[in-house]
Amino acid sequence: MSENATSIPFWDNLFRSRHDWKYEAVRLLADTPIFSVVPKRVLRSLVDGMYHRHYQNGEAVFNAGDPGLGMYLVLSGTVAIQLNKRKLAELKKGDFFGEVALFGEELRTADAIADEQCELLGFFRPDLQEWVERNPKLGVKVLLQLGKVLAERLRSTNQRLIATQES
Amino acid sequence: MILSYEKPAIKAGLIFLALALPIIFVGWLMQTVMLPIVIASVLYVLLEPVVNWLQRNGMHKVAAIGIVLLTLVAAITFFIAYMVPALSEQFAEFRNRLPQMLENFSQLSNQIESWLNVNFGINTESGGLLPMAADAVRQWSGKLISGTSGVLADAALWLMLIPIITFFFLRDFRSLRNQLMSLTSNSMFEKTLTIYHKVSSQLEMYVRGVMLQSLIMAIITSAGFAIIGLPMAIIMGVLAGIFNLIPYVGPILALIAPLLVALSISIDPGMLLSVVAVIAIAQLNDNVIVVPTILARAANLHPLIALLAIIVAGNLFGLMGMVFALPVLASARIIYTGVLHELRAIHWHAMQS
Repeated sequence: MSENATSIPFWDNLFRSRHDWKYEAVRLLADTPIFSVVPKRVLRSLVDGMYHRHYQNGEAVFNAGDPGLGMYLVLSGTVAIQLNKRKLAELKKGDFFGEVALFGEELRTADAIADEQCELLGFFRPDLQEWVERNPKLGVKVLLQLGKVLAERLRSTNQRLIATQES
Repeated sequence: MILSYEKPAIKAGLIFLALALPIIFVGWLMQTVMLPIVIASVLYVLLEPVVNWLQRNGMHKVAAIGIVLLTLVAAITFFIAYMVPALSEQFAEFRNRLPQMLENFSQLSNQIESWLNVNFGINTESGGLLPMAADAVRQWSGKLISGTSGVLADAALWLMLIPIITFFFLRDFRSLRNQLMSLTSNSMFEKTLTIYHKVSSQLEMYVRGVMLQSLIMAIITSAGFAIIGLPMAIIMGVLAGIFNLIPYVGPILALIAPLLVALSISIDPGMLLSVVAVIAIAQLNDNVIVVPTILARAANLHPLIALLAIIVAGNLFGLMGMVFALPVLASARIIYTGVLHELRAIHWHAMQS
């Protein structure tokens, strides 16, 4: 977390309305490649079990080396993915990050820092496992989609590596 | 370098205390309803997989919970209607046999005393260990009977409260948990959630394992006692199952009641040995088959620490303390080591930069 970040008092989370963000969360989740295969009716109950978090400008969502627990969807604001203070990507509303941690207790490979005040939706490995156990048919589809996303990222990383080696 | 590890350990201890004290205070405030809440929590852990299975087969959550709880209430009603008269008959028999049991126990202690006197010259007539043991058994038996009637009086209230609490746990536990998690700061959120999932999965594993273990123990000992012809075989088997909830000490406690019953018939060494054999076979099955397959790594504590914890908890909180000593201690250990791991990482990062 950077020095200018101010943390949010816990009572602020207690009195925040739980419903105003849910419609938006369902809409955004339905647009992601991972959850596009899940009907909105099911997504609504899935969102009920997710974690809605608020971050101030400069506050760390996680740091490189932290044990990863799951993924985040950006509901509002911007999140910077950076390594050794070098910005690798900027994620906006509707983007997601940290999905590799859904597969295992790996350490985070980069920092995720709120670039401005932002709202995130957290979805974590134990909840995914539990949800897949309860909805195996949909669960398999979601895991396949997740596999596709990771394969796509691996392909693009390979291409960038080859391009770097050739240049 | 040693200092760098000591500091986080102390900090972790203080954080752990700061977490534990409010929990203990809330527990103290809610002590009158603590037992139904604990039983409802155990039922939640046991019934949640069934609710999940029904949901997996397309049933709505509330309908699934309703069906599971109605089945449970029906099963309890069936148990009360069919088993309680038989059990109370056995209990009345136990009450009737009690004077005879104590008489036989006194006779046995007299025989042992005279044997000790003749063979080893040990005189235990005036205030020796055996008369004290006989008194202890008499007091214990009296407590068992008066205590049981008190428990039956509370049972009516619990029977109403427990299904209601279990229903709300099954329906709303997840959202309650999420609301509690929303109180954690962003910097500690993922860490808290990680520790929570480790503690809850280990506790769930422990509770399910222990309940299954006790059920197997109750079935084997009931059958064994019935085969050797011990009166009140079912009640003695159920008692052995309940006592088996207490690790290490339970098997010894499980021996007392059936031995007393055996003594109530006569001082027959064959029957006494048969009772010990039934418990020994059940314990052998428990230790060789059940514990390694069901309970392995569930508590993950050193046996000596576990034993001491059970004795201390039993002294402070009685039978319930003995039952819950291990899961509470195992959870406390995970929370402490989780906090310590986190603080060491922060300390290490601070040293690096």
